[in-house]
Amino acid sequence: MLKLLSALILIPAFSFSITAEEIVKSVDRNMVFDSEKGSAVMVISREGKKLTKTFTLLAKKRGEGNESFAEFTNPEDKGTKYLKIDNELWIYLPDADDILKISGHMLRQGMMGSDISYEDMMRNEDLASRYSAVISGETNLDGAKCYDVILTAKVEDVTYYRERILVDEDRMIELERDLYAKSGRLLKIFSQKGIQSFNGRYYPTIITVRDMKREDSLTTVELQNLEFDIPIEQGVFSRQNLKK
Amino acid sequence: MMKKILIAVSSALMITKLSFAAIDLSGGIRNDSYFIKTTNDVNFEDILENKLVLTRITDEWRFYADMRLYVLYGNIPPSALPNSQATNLGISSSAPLNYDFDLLRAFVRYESPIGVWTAGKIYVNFGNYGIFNPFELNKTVDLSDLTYDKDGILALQYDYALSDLSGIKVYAGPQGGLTNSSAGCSFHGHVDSFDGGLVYDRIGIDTNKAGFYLKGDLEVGVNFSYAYHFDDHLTNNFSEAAAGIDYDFFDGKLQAAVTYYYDEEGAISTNNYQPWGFNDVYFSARDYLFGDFKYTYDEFLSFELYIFLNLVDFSGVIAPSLTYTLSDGLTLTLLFSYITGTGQDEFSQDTFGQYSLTVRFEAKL
Repeated sequence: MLKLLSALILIPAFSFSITAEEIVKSVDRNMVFDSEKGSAVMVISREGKKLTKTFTLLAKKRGEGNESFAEFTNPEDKGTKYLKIDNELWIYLPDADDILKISGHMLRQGMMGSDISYEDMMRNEDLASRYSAVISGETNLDGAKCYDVILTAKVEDVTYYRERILVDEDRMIELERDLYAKSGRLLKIFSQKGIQSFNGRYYPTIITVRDMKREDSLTTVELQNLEFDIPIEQGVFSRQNLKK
Repeated sequence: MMKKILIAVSSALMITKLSFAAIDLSGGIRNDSYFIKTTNDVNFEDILENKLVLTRITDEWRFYADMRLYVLYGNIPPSALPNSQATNLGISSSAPLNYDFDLLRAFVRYESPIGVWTAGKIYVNFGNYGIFNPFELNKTVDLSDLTYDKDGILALQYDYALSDLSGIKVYAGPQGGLTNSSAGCSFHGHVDSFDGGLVYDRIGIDTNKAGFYLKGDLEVGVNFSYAYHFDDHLTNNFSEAAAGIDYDFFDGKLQAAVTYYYDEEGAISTNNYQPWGFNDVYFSARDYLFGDFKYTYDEFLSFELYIFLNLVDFSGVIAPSLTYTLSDGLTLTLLFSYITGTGQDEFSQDTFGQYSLTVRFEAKL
């Protein structure tokens, strides 16, 4: 009897044929890219009201960090451009024809008033090097069987201390990411849908973000014309390109 | 003959259609209704601004023109408006209805293999963008809209990128006449988390300035600018400087920025006040403090409070405002300004009224 009880207790620990680290690395293989190009439509919804922003996006890995360049194309913000290099951000204001350096603390702010911060939008970091992972179980999300993985920061330089990701077991892509502060407070929920294959890489084309500090607030980003690991010419991620 | 005429007209129409099809039109409409309460009266002015921007961008060159048509109605003397658009337009007529047209900026920008050339009526700026920049060429301040677009100057500007984040900028502007032309140059670069630069600018005869600026992060955002003003004989010199910090709270919902401004030539008593904006400085006194606090409730609603404080006579402007986004590109702003000073104070109720209310409706097209 004791042997049976011991087996039942031990079975869950051996029920996954994959480790948490392997899951996270598989997710990174899908989500982390050398370069990315695309366009996006961002809809900010709150209490029945909506704002729509459209922009083009270029991003590239640069050593340990990242570079990204976004240009807004919706009429109200047309010509506004953002350049982000690692943790620094510059904005080109077309009306002023001038460039403004944004202080680092403002990267936490929502981009153009959305629930997605500048840090969130232009994030291209591998989880494996920044978080330790534990599988907390399995769950079902929108008909897909998912690993439930808890990530805890193992370096100082992270935006969210703890994350909970639900990883599609077949495609090894996050379908949901819950972001927590160090206090344990749930800050944001990212839902990733419209999963498509790009030369063997699975990537979401529809991302919805709920800021849990606000009621009835939702931002949806639909990514279009995505291309990965393409060559990007020299000089794109520069102040000069902001003024072009 | 008729056939030839028809072909010529059709071709001309097609060319015109193609030409206009390549030009991007944008702009907006803005209406400011401005109420001032003085000791004995309430005055009103309305400014309707129509903005039309033409842009054409190709791989190598860009054409840009920003035109404004203003319609003003009201009974407020321009001198009573603290550097609002009415004074910037130089409107002095006492008639209730006035019109004005302004070509704010118009330029052609060409990207050559050896750098970028910009010619026309352009906004030339050195230093840190924003209020209290010692290197700003146009130091008028619109207290009803601190970020209002500034007039360009006739100039030729050359930019050369030394790297992704550094470069040099040179400009020359003949608007003061051949012997009184303006010219300047700057080097800007990036080290660690700081942008910075060195500047020399000659605005005209006996009006030179040289200095440096920095902007970056030390846990909080910091910025510092210093300009040394001097005449052509290196005499009549004085210093001008600005230093500021900024930070945000509550996950970015509350932003706070404080800037100290110093003008060595500024008055240290109200007996020595000069009109605003003389001698290439912002205001009249020696020391100022500016605070800007913005709370973003959500994507549609935000509150802002800014405070100008003259540290010589301690008069100031306290201006809370509320901005509501009605829809994409449509905003409504309510701005209340309270003038604290009296008598000979710079920000005096006797000059600018006790308080004012601006109702601003803006549509971006």
